[in-house]
Amino acid sequence: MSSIWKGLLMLLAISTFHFSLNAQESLLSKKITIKCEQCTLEKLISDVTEQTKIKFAYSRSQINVNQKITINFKEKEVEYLLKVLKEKYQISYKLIGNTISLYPEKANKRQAKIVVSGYIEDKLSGERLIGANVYFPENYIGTVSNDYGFFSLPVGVNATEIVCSFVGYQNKIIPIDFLKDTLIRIELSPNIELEEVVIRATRDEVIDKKMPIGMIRVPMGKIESTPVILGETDVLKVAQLLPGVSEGSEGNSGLYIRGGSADQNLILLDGITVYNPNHLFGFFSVFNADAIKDFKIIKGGFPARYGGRLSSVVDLRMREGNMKEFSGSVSIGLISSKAYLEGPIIKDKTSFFISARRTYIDLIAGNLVSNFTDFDESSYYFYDINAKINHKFSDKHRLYLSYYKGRDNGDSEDRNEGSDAKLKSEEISNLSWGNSIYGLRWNWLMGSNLFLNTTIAYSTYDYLNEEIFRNQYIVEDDWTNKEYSTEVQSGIDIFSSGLDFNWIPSAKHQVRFGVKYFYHTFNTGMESKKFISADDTNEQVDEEESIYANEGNIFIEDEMQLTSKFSANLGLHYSVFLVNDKTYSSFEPRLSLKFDVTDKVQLNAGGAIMQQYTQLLSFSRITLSSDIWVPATENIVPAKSQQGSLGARWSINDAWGCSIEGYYKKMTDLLEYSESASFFENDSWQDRVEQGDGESYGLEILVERSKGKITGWLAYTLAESTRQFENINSGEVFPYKYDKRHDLNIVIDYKLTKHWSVNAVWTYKTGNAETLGVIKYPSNLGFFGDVSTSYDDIIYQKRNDYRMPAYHRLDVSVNWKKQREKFEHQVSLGVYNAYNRDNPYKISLFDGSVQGPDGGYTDTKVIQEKSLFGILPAITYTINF
Amino acid sequence: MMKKIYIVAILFTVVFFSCEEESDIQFNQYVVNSFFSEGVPFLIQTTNTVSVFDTATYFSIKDMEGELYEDSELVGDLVFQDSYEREGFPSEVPEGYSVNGFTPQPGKEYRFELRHGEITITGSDIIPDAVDFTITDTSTVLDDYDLMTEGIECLINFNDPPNEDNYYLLGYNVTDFSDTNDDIGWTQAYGWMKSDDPAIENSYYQQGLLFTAYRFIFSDQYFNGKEYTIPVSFFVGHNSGRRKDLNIYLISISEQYYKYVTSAINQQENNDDYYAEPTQVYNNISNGFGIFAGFSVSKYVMEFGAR
Repeated sequence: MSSIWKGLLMLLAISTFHFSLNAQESLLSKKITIKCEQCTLEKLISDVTEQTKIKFAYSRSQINVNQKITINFKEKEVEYLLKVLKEKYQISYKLIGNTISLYPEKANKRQAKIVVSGYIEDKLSGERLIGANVYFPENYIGTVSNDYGFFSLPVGVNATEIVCSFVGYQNKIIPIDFLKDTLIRIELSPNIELEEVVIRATRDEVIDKKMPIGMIRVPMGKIESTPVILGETDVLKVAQLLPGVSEGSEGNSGLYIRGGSADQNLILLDGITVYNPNHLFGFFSVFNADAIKDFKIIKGGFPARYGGRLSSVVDLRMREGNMKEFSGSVSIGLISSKAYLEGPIIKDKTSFFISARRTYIDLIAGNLVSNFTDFDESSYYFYDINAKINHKFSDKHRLYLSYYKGRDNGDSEDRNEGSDAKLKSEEISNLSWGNSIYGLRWNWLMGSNLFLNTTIAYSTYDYLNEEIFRNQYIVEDDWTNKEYSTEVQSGIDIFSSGLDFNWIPSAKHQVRFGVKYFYHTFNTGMESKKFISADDTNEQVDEEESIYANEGNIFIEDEMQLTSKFSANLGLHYSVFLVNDKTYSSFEPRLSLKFDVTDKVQLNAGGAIMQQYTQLLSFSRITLSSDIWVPATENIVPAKSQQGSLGARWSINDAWGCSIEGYYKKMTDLLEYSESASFFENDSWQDRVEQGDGESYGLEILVERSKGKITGWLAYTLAESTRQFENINSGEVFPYKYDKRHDLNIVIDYKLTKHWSVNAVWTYKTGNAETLGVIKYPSNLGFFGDVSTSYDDIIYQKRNDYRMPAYHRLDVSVNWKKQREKFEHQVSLGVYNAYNRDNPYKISLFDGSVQGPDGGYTDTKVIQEKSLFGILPAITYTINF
Repeated sequence: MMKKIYIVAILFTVVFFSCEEESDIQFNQYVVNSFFSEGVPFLIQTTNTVSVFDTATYFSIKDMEGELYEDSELVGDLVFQDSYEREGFPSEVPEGYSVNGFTPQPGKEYRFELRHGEITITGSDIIPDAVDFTITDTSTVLDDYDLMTEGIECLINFNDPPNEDNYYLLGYNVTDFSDTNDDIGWTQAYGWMKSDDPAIENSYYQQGLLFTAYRFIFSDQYFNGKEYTIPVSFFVGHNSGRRKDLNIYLISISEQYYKYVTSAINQQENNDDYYAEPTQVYNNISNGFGIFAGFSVSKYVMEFGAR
């Protein structure tokens, strides 16, 4: 460990080097020649822009651009012109980034503070933008639009402009010429050339100083351009390329964040919990990238409004639908096709969005599913539908209706016929699972600085497996039929409602507070068995009683700008969980601090206590759709975590940036199956589990380049994660299955021309920890004490004692895009695992034999490694309209 | 600028390669195995653990010294003895450590101590008392056409000792007799048995190994201190027309024996099973691996006559 912290300290030290580029001075010193005899101010500005490319911003209500100006000079600096305008025409200026803002020398003076609030929207679609920055250019103090695009900013008497910026959009300067509280709508125009599609959001810096510690917002543009398996764009797969986020095993969409398990992530779609984010055993996530407009991950320093999970918050927001015109897309890929359509139902008032996706993986399922089943015939597909309607009653009231449904279906059949035609057997298996989500949200702007969102939602996940065995055999020339069927069901339903207030009393405080209620129904397992023979029918149902639980929480947090350099988010989250006759509660303080050392360097720190009342009970070898969500009960206490993190962000220049973050997380009362527990036991799940502790710590480094033809990032995580259970592994500490010492991802996006680009991702990870006994000794399972030579007892030195080989892979894609009339055509050619690396997915010991020097064979154990995907090409054609 | 990138790259390289975890797998650890009972020659076998990829057979460790204790009293020195044939046993007694002429007794606790160099290996267990049982032949002859075998349904009745936890193995084998001479028979453990009794339903052994099981293993958790009857169907193979004897054994085993057998079977069953957790085989040998456990046998012979 010492080397970890040495590295951290040294990198922190390096990161404090000060860099300053004085681009503004060079802007004002540009030489221009002006010949203007009674020309309009607008013409003058146009001439300067033409000569220098400098942008000007002004309000026509404040500046009379038709006034006549007379100025003549040769080869003088821009600053000279601005001085003349100020002295002769009482037009003053401010330099904001690369823009010169003009305003009258004697503007109407406000007598008191006012509040400017409103919504930030995409100019073309009317879609509200989440996480856009609104700030005063002189000191960068400001706010960020919330999950509904709302912002509120108290404005002092001297403020003349605010600036609005958002990644992928052109900055906009808004002159403040209002005399009273005003509700405005800021429309941002998308950048035509998306050169800066990177993990950042504010101003002209690579790092986003307003982003809390541990939070990463992933731009959707990056998700669409990152090469992925079989060409299927996947938001969670891109998240796995970020520091501190791991994919678990090959192809898995599960997120293993900072040593936590997949169930420790609070996955929200439009603020509603999604319980199983996986399609096809985790190879694809349930989130269709077409339907997602905003995606952020919080790994530490959790704001108080989030609760109920130990390790992370994965917050996805669905698109709202274009308020201005119809648009859509159809995409045909190797394994699936998808389409979306959006548009106004009533222009600028009501819009809809609908997307659908279905796989035709049935064609390749034989190879893929055969890794899990022994059936002759298998068919498999999944589909998902996202839909949303939003209606604007007025500037103050808006209603959203969100819907998601996704389902996986797998059918398998196996038929056998005895050689003497006296025995026939048939085995049929139907497997199905999926999520459904319904959400109704109402936004109410209660005042210029008070915003309320009310949510009512229902989320459900269910799993169903039906197996039918039919036997036919001849007894005395008569066919006798027997049928045996089993049906296994499990699932979870959750009804939730909540009030989220957003109150901005001043530019230095953004207060969020609210209350939430959840009603859970846990169906932890029902098995129904039916036996039908010629003589009778027997039916037996083993059902665990459903568990019902009530959960409530209240929270308050204040995002404070304490000084011009120092800001904090201080919050409290209190929750109560009532199950049967047992009540659990949790008081959770949250803290996040930021200190701007310079304009380019920021130090940050965060800490949080979290409690999780529901956990996913999974077998340690694999995460499956049959895993069950279980609650804290009288016998099972909730899991808890304490986490602290410390980091620095450094904007090296306008293209390069880096961040480094170290964390420590202690987890208690985690849930695991007991040693030797089996899914097919009849005991209650509560009798087959153990509770224990976990610990993880690590260092995360992100280096990114955001400008130029080549953009991308390097993400490296050095980490360790362990578990300790009293009755597992003899009570000794053992590595977590997805403990990865090194996790390195390099993502490159190279724009060759306007139409062509190449993307590459190289990933390297330490191999997973597996429980694979590699020591044997003779078993004593003989009948009466004689030692058997046919068996060996295997020693698992400890749980997860064997390291699989390191995992590494290169994915490459070439993309072509062209706009033709109203349609944009896009073709993507991709190769997954370009150098065909055999990355083991599963490792087992099997009885085998080896050939000796004499040519004879000797029985021994052999390691069998199964890989899932070799080199896999993919092609996708998309047409956008 | 480039200088700083180099510094970061060097640091990165140092960190990257400085923390690879080294394997700490230890082969060649001591293994001691012994199941002991009143009716079986006392024997302690000693070997080493080896890599699962090692194809060589196990070799006994012959140069150990040690003693055997009965209820903390010294019984005698443990001496290594080569394999030998013993009257009344179908196969030769394997090589291992024993105390000359010693026969262990039920109800006693035994502890061994073996030394090899600086290492002392120990283990201890008791021999539980035998539990007598009776058999009621229900005269129900079973035919299983799927398995092409026939069998008989019996009721096994016994009294579980009160105020203690008891553990059992129920097993059987079959003696086939010559069709010309009833005095000539050969015994083998073939066929299979089944039972719907809840005590056995919940035992570890039955799950997944039903069709190859020669024994049931169960505890008295459902009938502690009570008289209990278990219906069992014993299958004996083809109807050869010759006399067959069912040799049924109710074996009282120690708790450590029970833990060992259940965990060892679980380990074999759960290997490579996505729906199960790995199982560590129970071990009661200090400074080593293996099992040192006692048992007592009650036997009942029932004739499954020629028809």
